[in-house]
Amino acid sequence: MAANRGTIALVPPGPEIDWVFDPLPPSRGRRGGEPAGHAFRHHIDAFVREVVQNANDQRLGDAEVHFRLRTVAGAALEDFLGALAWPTLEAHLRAAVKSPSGRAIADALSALQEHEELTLLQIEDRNTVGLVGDELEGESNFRALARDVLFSHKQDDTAGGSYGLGKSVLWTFSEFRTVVFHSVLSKHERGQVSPRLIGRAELGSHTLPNGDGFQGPGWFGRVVEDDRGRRAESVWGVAARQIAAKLGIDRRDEAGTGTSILVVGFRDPTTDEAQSITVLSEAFRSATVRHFWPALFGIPGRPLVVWVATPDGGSPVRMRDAPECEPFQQCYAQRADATDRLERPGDVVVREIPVEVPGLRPKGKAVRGSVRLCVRHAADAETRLQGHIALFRGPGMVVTYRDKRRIALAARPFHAVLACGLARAPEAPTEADRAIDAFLRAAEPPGHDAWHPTDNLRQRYQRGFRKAIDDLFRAVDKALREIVVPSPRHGAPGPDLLRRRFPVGRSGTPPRPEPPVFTIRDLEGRFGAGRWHFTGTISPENLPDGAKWRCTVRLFEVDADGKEVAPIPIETFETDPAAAAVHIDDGRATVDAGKHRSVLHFAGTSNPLPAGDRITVALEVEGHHG
Amino acid sequence: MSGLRLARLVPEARAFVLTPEFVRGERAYDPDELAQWCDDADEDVDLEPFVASVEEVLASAEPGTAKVDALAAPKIHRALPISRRTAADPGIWRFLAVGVAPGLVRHRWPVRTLATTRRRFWAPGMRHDSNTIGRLWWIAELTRNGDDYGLTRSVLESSNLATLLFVRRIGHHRPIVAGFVRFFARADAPAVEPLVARFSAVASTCALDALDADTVVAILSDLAFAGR
Repeated sequence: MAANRGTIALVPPGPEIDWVFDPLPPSRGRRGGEPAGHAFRHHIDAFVREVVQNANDQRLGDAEVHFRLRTVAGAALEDFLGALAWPTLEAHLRAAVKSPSGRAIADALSALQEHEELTLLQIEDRNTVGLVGDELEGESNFRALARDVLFSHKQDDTAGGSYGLGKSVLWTFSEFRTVVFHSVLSKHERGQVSPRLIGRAELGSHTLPNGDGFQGPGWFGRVVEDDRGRRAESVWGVAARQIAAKLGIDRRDEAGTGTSILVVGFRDPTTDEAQSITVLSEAFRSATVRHFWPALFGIPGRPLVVWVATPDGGSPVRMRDAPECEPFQQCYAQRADATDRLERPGDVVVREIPVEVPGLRPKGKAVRGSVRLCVRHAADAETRLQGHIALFRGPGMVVTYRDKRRIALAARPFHAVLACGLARAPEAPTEADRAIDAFLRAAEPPGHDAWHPTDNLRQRYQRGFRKAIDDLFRAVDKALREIVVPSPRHGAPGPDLLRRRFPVGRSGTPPRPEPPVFTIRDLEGRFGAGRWHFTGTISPENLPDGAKWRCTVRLFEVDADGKEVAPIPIETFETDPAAAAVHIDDGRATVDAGKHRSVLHFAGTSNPLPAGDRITVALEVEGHHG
Repeated sequence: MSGLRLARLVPEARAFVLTPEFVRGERAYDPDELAQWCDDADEDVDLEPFVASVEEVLASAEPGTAKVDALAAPKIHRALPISRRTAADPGIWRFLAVGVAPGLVRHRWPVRTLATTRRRFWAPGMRHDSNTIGRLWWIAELTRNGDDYGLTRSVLESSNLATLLFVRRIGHHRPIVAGFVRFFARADAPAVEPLVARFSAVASTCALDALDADTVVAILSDLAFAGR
């Protein structure tokens, strides 16, 4: 018996991969561009902050982020565009050119035609959660990053971001408002096989030449049509891997779980001219260090590594990529090795600043804890961020560098760090640290670049959140001022000096410096009507009971090195409360304050000075007792 | 002398190496003797060119005069192509002064008192009595224009001006130094010292980086001649 057998290859038709844009809803509501795009300023720094922070929050262990910049041209460009279903996307891009934010798209399309070259940025994170979650339902990374616009779905309550706006930055930096995600998931739902691939374009509402209207967003993936309508869903497994390879964003095995993000047509929207890949890669490096040095090189137990690569090669970012931040890193690193005072360059002084945060709604208890202020005497005077204070909490992202150069006249040059919440004592965080971290997280606006009263705070915390923030910054300023203003001289330093000159033996701990006897503050001076006017306060704080004291005040001209050149005689001088005995001898004022014990305010003027002289004047106040 | 490399002499060595015999020039150390007091410098530098240029200076400049400075500074600077970071380490200047070129220190400054001469071997900085070699290197570094050491030479030829300028911040700015040199070259120039002090006081109200030599000359003329 012979059987006739014919065989044919039964190849299932490959999934249709294309772009599908959301049709206009019946209401015909229109929008121009993406809402989140306008919420905060965009430049490379904001981009790097958001992208690295996303990866840092999604980490499963020692996370890595790799930025790779490249250009495609010629045949490679054709292959790339083919894999991206460019004809469909281009039709929608051309239609969107008329929308309010379409000007940039039009420029990008003509530049692509003219130069036949495209700049691509790939952001690969490693050992992170990946785009887990169902296609359409629930809260998940997938929906947060690729589908929804205004919701945040982060790993845990220490996460850096809390608005979900972060990802919008991806589209803002794409000339074509187009981003593709390729992800190996750390956990899978039923039927899911990694990797996953999906693309998203964020256009304004637009109408194709055939009259079909679209809301704006479009999706690149496997085309699905059912009773819920036509849409593009994630591509999975082998098919996803193949597309990823053609787009140049395949993930090697050592990358582990995590997501590769492709920004198509990378462009800093704040610059007029396209920047070279070298310039961009340097900007990525310095921005990463500037905003993440605590996570990269500061907080123990949270290792994060960031690489930046161009076709010429890549390397991990290093502290030296942002030398202006090195003093801050050293300041935080020396938090356990502090000195009592800032005397020499490199000295670090540490203070715990008490903080009280209000309870959570409805009935949570207020929490008392502290944050840690570290101040370092600047070694070289003129770096760009000198006199600034870096604020950060558990995730190790610098929220902002606040300019404190005006904190006091005659401040020592310094760099300061305010380590809050889980960053205060990362070796052993307390419950209070956790509560403060959560509170400050809620105090961050969408750009995560400040701590101030937000709607989020108002909704989650009881009354008093505004005061808690104000009190925190006021206490920090006060402590900072005390640290950076040189302590007033002691009235009677004799014995101490002798001790130092004739050290006896080498054993024992060095003597602690005695607390200053006088506190001198609020020294101010201004020039008006031909003479100098000055004010200030002095208060005796650690005087022995019954001791009498006096103070002398004088003015003198200084040179470019701060050295005395010539005295400037004081003409008038008065105190509040009025002191019985104020003398002006030889141009200097002396106050015999007797046993007066509270703050003494003083004000005075110099002799008239010849017109036209430009000089720098120093005001010296000295307390004496005994 | 080949194979001699730059090193740093540790500060603890002071009491052991700056003996009266050494300071007066009655004994010298060879590098092996100093090895126990030395660490590696940040940069690996071959000292052969340095040794050669020091010999040229010793052979040609009249001892004890500012001419030694004017001749030596450019040569020392060219022979030591080190970074400012390395040059900021007092240890290397101690090594060069004590271990390599003690003769140059004594050639420029005949020994009068032990204390001052010790400073000339040891103390960091740009005072006239700081480490002689480090001071000249730094003055050359601050005043050269690429490979042109013209200003270095002219400012060092006036020992008095150099002594006053380089201990002040104003001495860290090449255009200011150039302005001073130009102004004091005029025949009717007044006394140096009060004018440097007066200028430094005025300069406390300026951004020093923004001063060019012409402005410096104008300010100096104002200060010197306004009253006439």
